[in-house]
Amino acid sequence: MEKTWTKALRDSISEVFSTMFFLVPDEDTSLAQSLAGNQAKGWLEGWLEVIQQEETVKVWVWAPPELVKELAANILSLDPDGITADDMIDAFKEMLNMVVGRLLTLVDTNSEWRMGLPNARHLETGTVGEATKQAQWLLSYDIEEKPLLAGCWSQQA
Amino acid sequence: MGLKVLVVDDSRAMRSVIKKTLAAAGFPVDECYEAEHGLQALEILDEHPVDVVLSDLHMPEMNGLELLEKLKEQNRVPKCFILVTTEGRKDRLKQALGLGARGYVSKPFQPEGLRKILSLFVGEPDGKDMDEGPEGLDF
Repeated sequence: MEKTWTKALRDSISEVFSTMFFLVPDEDTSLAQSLAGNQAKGWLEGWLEVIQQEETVKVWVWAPPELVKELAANILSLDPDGITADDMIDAFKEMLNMVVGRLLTLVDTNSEWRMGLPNARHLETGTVGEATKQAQWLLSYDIEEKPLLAGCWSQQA
Repeated sequence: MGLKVLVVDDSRAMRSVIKKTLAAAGFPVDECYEAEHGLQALEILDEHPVDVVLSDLHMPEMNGLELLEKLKEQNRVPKCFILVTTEGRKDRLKQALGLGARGYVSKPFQPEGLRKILSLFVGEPDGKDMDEGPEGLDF
């Protein structure tokens, strides 16, 4: 499962960012480790659950505020200086919603998974490594010199 | 005469993208209302009948399917109800079609995708074929 979902998550991140946010994510496999000790305060953390019978998968995304502000500015066609904290949360959640929706389109050929609603919050404490350790596997990207981390956690009931 | 449109999505960003896409495609829009979920959409439709509803499926409070169910129950599904959604499950999309939705656009979408499907039901943006188009889309 991990291999299939990793590829699907990679493909969906690439498609969503280029189509809706006009940004090209470059995968950088060393980034998650090099950022692990950095303070996560101010970063945005998003998560969305998908459920199939007795299995739950949580898809996570993390990004610093600079990148999220750019996402919001691009999708709203506004100057980044005019972007509010609510705009950032909204754009981040919609990005996650589209990424997971696209991911399920790629992996869920039998229409077995149900998708929840996206959640997002600003992190107040801790390090990037502490935040991302919730994921069982991680992808990391450089997007115009700003990081984006994404990963999954799955559990059988 | 221009179109009266209702955009239903819990994301302000997505509502903004849809409105800009309509404007960029050249559809003549007289009024464009916005709702964050199905309940708000029903309130708006009580006051303002519209030609086109562009609605998400996954929303808090009342989702797109529940909105369609309610409108069908009241026999007032607008002529052009299009889903703009991340939902990929064919059973859910077929259920929506059965309730009166005319088609769907998958998010993420290219502006051209939304323009094309809307043109099927309200005509090309230049105003031709306003009442022509297929009865639904074949999944």
